[in-house]
Amino acid sequence: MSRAKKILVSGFILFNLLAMVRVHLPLEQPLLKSLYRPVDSYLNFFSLYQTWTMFAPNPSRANVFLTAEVEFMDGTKDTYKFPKASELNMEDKFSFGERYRVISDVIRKDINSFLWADTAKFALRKLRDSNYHKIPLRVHLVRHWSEIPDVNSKFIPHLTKSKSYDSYEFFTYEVL
Amino acid sequence: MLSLKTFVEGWDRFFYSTTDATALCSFRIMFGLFLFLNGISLVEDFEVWFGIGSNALVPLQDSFTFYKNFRINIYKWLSPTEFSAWLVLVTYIATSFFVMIGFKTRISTIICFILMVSMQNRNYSILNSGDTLMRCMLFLMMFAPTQVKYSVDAYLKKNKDEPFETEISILTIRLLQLQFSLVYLATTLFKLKGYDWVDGSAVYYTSRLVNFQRIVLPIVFDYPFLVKFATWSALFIEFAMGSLVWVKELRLPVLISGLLLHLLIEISMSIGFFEWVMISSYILFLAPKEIFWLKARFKLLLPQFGRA
Repeated sequence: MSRAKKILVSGFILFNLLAMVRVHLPLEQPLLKSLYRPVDSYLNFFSLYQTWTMFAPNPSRANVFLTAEVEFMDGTKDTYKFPKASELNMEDKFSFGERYRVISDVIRKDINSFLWADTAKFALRKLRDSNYHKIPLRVHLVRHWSEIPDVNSKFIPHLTKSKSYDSYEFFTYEVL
Repeated sequence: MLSLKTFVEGWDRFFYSTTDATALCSFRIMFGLFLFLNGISLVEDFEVWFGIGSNALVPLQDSFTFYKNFRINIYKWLSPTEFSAWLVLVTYIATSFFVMIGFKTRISTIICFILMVSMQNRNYSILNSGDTLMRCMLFLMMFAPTQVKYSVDAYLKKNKDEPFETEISILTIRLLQLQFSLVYLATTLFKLKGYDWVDGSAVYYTSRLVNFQRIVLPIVFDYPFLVKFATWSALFIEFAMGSLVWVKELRLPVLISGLLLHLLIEISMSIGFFEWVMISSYILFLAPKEIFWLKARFKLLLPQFGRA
């Protein structure tokens, strides 16, 4: 390899190594941010951002699922339950269960509130066929959670099903 | 003290030496298989996640607003029809298959990457760590000479009496290995920031998350001392995979521990394709003779399955 080519390739290697660790560097100072701007543009364009924080720094301590409750003009209600990976067979887990696990975890967080209106409309469409003659008024998104007891206070056996879930209505979408 | 000359020589040896292509090309087959299976797994609910019609959870226009940075997204240039969305998935599945068998390998890898990134940018909210890992690995694969062995391309070239050179630059293998190590090192550092991994209780909580559970492993997860052992072992093995795997004498024991860790996680938990892509990446750390040894053992197993 020629010297010039080697310098170019080495530059590419260094740039990529820098890009790989970029997300892991807590560099929020303006000067460093501007130094990193070319790397950030590169990361965005090729979508190479990466964080490896699954179960870190601490694993979640709650089992969570979502529902959407639709109120109709005639006073009746219907509920759409987002599929729970825990209630699916192996094949369904493989094909879509994991996706529903992730999206339920994403939607429940306030930081992702930009997805809530679309999620409500999605639930409404899912219930449309079984309620085709009704006029929907509003959709409530509800998160349900059951905390895993602290290991030091109560060691629950593996695969024990949670009996009670707390609920919180975190978003209301006005249809009309 | 390290002289600049020694550093440059070391850099050259690390990134610019040559190696046999067996590991890289074997990795391409396994990685291609998981790209392909990933595509198949998206078929069932494709219209919900990546579709363009009324079934989509995140409408196309909203996704452009949410994820508005300048990034690869072929959906921006396609006509907004359901057919276009399906065309993206079908082409992705086809190119991932071509990557696996090594047909038009380079261009297939590039197209596969563009389509994967486009789908991921179409709906970023459903991605898991397996998606991130496949995306980053596939990016590096675009630069790698993965076609020179065990591929249709190599077969066709050989038939024309113009076989590929199978002694290749180690550069892209090094980048893939570094990416692999980074995953482990980063996750170890993030975990050390918390208290559940340090006090040994993390596996207790992860094993009680019902949406991840797969198969009952009561003995492992039902005794506090075993939970502690599992937590600290996992943390240490992850650290070793990111660091000690580079030490020649420790490489094989570290890889075997990592393999056992991933298999145990895969048996007990459901986390998409992450575990399998990590396992297939282990090949990149194997010497050709070790891969041939594995291949021979695998061949020995096949007739036994047939007889059974």
